[in-house]
Parts: sequence; structure tokens; C-alpha cells
Amino acid sequence: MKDGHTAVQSLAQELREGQLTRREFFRTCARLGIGVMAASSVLRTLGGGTASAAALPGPLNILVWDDHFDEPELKDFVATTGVKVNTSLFDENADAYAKTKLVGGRQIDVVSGDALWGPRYYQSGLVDPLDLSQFTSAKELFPVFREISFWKVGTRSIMFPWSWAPIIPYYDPRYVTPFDSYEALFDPKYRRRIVMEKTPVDIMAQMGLVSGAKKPYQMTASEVKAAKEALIRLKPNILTFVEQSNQFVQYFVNGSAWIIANAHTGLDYRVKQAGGPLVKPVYPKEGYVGFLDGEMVVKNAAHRDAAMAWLDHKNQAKYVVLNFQKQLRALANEKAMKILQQDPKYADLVHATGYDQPDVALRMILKGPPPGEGLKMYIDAFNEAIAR
Amino acid sequence: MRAASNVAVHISPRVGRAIPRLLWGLLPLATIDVVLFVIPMVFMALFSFRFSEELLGLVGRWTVAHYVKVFTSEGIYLRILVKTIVIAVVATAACLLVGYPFAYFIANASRRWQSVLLTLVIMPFWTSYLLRVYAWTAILGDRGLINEALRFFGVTDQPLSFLLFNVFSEIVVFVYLYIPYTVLAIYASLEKMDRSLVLAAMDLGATPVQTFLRIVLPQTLPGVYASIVFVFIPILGEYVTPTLVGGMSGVLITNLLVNQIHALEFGFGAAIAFVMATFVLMLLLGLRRSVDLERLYVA
Repeated sequence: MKDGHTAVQSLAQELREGQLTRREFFRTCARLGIGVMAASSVLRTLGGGTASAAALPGPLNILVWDDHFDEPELKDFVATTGVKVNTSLFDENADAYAKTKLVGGRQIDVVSGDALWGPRYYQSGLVDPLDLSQFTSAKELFPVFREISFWKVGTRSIMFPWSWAPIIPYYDPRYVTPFDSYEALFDPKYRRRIVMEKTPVDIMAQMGLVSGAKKPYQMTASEVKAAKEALIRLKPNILTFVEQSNQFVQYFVNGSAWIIANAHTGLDYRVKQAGGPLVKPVYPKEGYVGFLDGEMVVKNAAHRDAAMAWLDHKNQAKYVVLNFQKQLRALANEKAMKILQQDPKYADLVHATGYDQPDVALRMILKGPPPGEGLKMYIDAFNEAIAR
Repeated sequence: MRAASNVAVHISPRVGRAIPRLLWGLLPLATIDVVLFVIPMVFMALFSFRFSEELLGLVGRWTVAHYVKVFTSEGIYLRILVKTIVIAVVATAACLLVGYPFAYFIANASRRWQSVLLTLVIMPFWTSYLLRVYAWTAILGDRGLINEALRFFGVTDQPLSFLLFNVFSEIVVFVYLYIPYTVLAIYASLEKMDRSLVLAAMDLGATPVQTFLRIVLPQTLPGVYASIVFVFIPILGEYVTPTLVGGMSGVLITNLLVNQIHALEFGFGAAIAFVMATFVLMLLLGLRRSVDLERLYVA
């Protein structure tokens, strides 16, 4: 590490003397295996100790889910690199994909995505795979997340992995009889008592599991039709769709929902924290879908260096710990998990959310875009079901 | 034609010089109109008739498939469009029924009270639209203000679940959101009304109902039409209210449209939007036939 430090000091000197551009500086650091944040830090010190002296070209434009960052790491990032971060939020993968395709790296540097959406982004030429070895914080990941086969392009990874969780039903045992199959959701006694997050493609995939589809994200036309019929059958029991999963808590707390049909793990703890009932998770025997997400760097990103620095920064264990404490779902950072296991307040939660069982992440039916005309077929079926 | 030519010949040089200046004066307005309205509409029209493999690609083949789909697809889009129109009509009528008497009351109040009441009418605009809609879930929900009050006074022991997440709650929230527009439009008409006619009618023995129907209402019709335009048309395009309080039965056409946009079906989304726009255009033309638009916009 001392050699690396000396090397980066020498490179920084070249940068100051105009023999290197900032981009070349970071690239050379990366080739030497020096983390982007480490390089930024050394650069700042050499530049006289002020953030502005080390300022990367910015601002950084990120299109992300709201549970992928928190205020502390944003503030620290600005203080460390001098780069302002512009955050734009989205809810649906398709929405982010469309935006990235329309404006590309000119307006978006980093974009979040779910498991099999990554390859779709890459095949469309929208993102550059990452060499995870050049990120200091990538060394903190569970090994299994550094080697995700469907994200691999040679030795590189399309995404920097962030979090994962099964999408499962939760129920309030005061009103609901324990169950182990999706079929229970159709019971007329739960009329207007089920709340779901409005994610049309994932809901259709879930209904595909109900109606017996083997690959719920690659259903045939007849399977989609059967899934639509299942949703029509379920409709009388659905009270409402919510736009964001963080709204689930209030429905359990105020008693208007007895079942949440598509929540990610940890909801039971979030409801309890908010003073609600002790709700129970269900892992349906038909199977369940799940998400495994991360961040991608957009091709020809206008602020690529800042994007790389941001990924290295936000994925540090200290920030991941804070994120877990707020969101209560499994993440990809192993070091953060070990820190949380030492904390009596969170040790049980680490296990309950599956954070200590990363192999489960890759056994789930992962979210992804239906191939070809599939997306259109899924949405048409969803619209036909809810409008009926 | 000959007369027209003669008129043209006799335009004075001063007027002749004024016309180009007038056209230059209109240029900023025309530019804004073209950039913000005409160009986006033209693009939307093109998308609605194009089929492209590329996202938002205009290179492709011409098609009417998107429009055919709007009118077929098990009839769901037409059915939801009709449902949206019916809900908008009911909400607009409710706004008029509640808003007219209130506007009348304000117009007849003292100047000091008028200021206070008008401030109260516009006060909701000081807060976020989203918050205003969201607040209704706290009023109408199972543990909301109304259900808690009913339980407190022993009227019910179980919450009334029909208060939220249905067409009823959707209309209640629409009325709440749009009633200020109704009140302001009708108040403006009432302010302009010639009150001596009301006094004359009363002096001549007309009953209050006759006076209202024959004197007041006809004079305030431009305000009524204006409020229809300001309330009915925006409700047709509402997305947030049906999403937050409409539940499964309150799905409106824009909810379906947004789902299509999320599926990257911009062409089909544009076709749905154009069918809606055509309906609105027909409505405006109908209104134009029944009332002088100039008076309406002045109101």
C-alpha cells in the first residue's frame, strides 16, 4: 500500500504540473489497483487540503431509487471531492431504461437497475462494465456478488451490486390465518384488505407463479393470459396499489391492510418500529420473485471520474450500515454485515432479512425485463385486468 | 370581392405601416405558442401514427394500429375513457352546486369580508397539491378523522371502509381540489353583473327563484362555462388523485396511459392522449357554439 501511495503522489505531482489530465490520473490509479476514493483523497491532500483543489469535474447526475443513498454519504462526498450530486428518482426499471436511452451519458452518469435489466442496458449499449477491482469498497463485498455470472462481461461487471431481497407476502395474524400458498390471497374474507406496490411487470410475474408459469418473467401469451385471469380474480381483494414500498408500513399500522402481497423482507421490523402489529412473512410454496440491484455507469458519462468516485464512496461499509439500519433489507457488503452482527440491536435482523445468507439472492427468481414484445404483453394484460 | 379590393386600396399609409409592427408584436406570443404547444402536439401526432422498433424513433412505418388498439383491446380503453368522462362530469357538477352559492355569498358580502373569504378560497394553493390529496387519506381512512369521530360518538363500532379507495373518495377529492376555480370564475361573473336588473325584477314582483333563473343565472353563465373549462378538462387528465385515493375501482384513463408509457409504448400512449384531446376539442367547440368565447375568457 505504501508503494501505491508513493505512486499516486507521483502521479498527482504530474497532474499538478499539467503532464496528466484528471482522467488519465484516475485511469492510471485504477491500473495500479488504487481505489478511486483513495486517489481522490491523496489528490486532495497534495492539492493543499481543500476540497476544491481536488475537485473532480461535476456535477454528478445520478438516476436512482431512493433507498440507494442517504444524506450522510452525499454530504461527505461533496466535502471530499467537491462534486455536487444531482439526484433524480424513479420507480420502474423500464422508466429509468427509457430515460437513459433518451439522454444517455450527457445527462445521466449513474443509473440504478435490477438484476436482469443490467444485461438489457449493456446489450443496448447504454452502460460500461466496471472493473470492480479498481474500487476499494468492492473488496468489502461478499465474494458471490463480485462474480454474478449474468453481470459478467469478461472480467468486468455490468453493475456494482448494492442490495437484494425476496418479494413476498406479509400478513397480520390478528385477522389472517397462516398460509403458505398464494391461493390464500384469493379468499373472499380478505375483500379490500390486500395492498400491493404498483409494479405491473412484477405483479404479472407474481400472478404467473400463481397460475403455474415456470419462468414468470418469460411467459408465453397463454401464460400471460392465465396470469391476467389470476389478477382479475384477485382484484376484489385489493384495496389499492401504492407507488412506493415504503408506504406499506402505514397500511399495517392503521389496520386498513391485512395482507401486503409484494413486500421485500424486513417489513415486519419496519412495521414494529412504527408501532404496528407483529406481521408475519410468507414464503409461498409456488416460489417468489426477488430483486438484486446495483448501480451502473452510463456509457460516455460526462462525469465518469466522479461517477467512479461516487460508487467507491457510497459502497463503503460505514454507509451501508446506516442504509441497513434504515431500510432493513439485505445488502451486498459483507464488511457492513459483520459490523451489524456485532451490534445486539441488529444482529437478529441481519439473519431475519437473509443478509447473512447471500447465496439465497441467486436462488430467487430475479426481476428482469420480459424479452422482445413481452413487456408490451405484460402491460396490456395488467391494464386489461385493472380496468375490467 | 370588388368592395374588398376597394377597402384594401384605401388603407391609409399610417395603417399600412402599423400592420408589420403589429405582426412583430405578435411574434413572441406566436413563438411561445409554436414551441410549447404546436411542436409537441405535432410530435405526439407523429408518434401516434408511427410504429418503430426504436424507442421514440420516428423512423418506421405509418400505422393506425395504435388507434385501432384504443378502440378494441376488449373495449377497456373506451370503457375507462367513458368512465373518466362520467366522473369528471359528476365532479364538475358537484363543484358548481357547491361553488355557485358560495361565490354568490362572497359577492354579496361586504368588501372586507370578500377579501377574507377570497383569501380562504385560494389558501389551499399555498400548500403542495400532492399533500392536499394525501391529506384526504388521513380524513377518510379507516383510522381517519371521520371514522374516529363516528366511533367516538358511538355511531359505528367498525370503520366505514367505503369512504376511501373508490370512486366516491375520488370525486370528493376532485371537488375539494377544483372548487376554488369554480368559485373564482363565478365570483368574477357575479361582480360584473348589473345589480340594478335584480332590483328592477324584484320591484316588478319577481320571486327570488324567478329573479335568479331569469336575471342572475343568464348573466353569470360565462363564469359557469369558464369553471367547466377549468374543472372538467383538468380532471380528465388527473393521475395523482386516482392513484392515491381511487383504489381499484377509481382507475382512470391516465392511469392506463402512464402504464403504457412505462412499458415504453409511446406511440400507443400518444394515441390515447390524442383521443382524449379530440374529445376536449369537441367539447370546446360545443361550448363555443353555445356561448361567446370572448365573453367566457374575459370572465
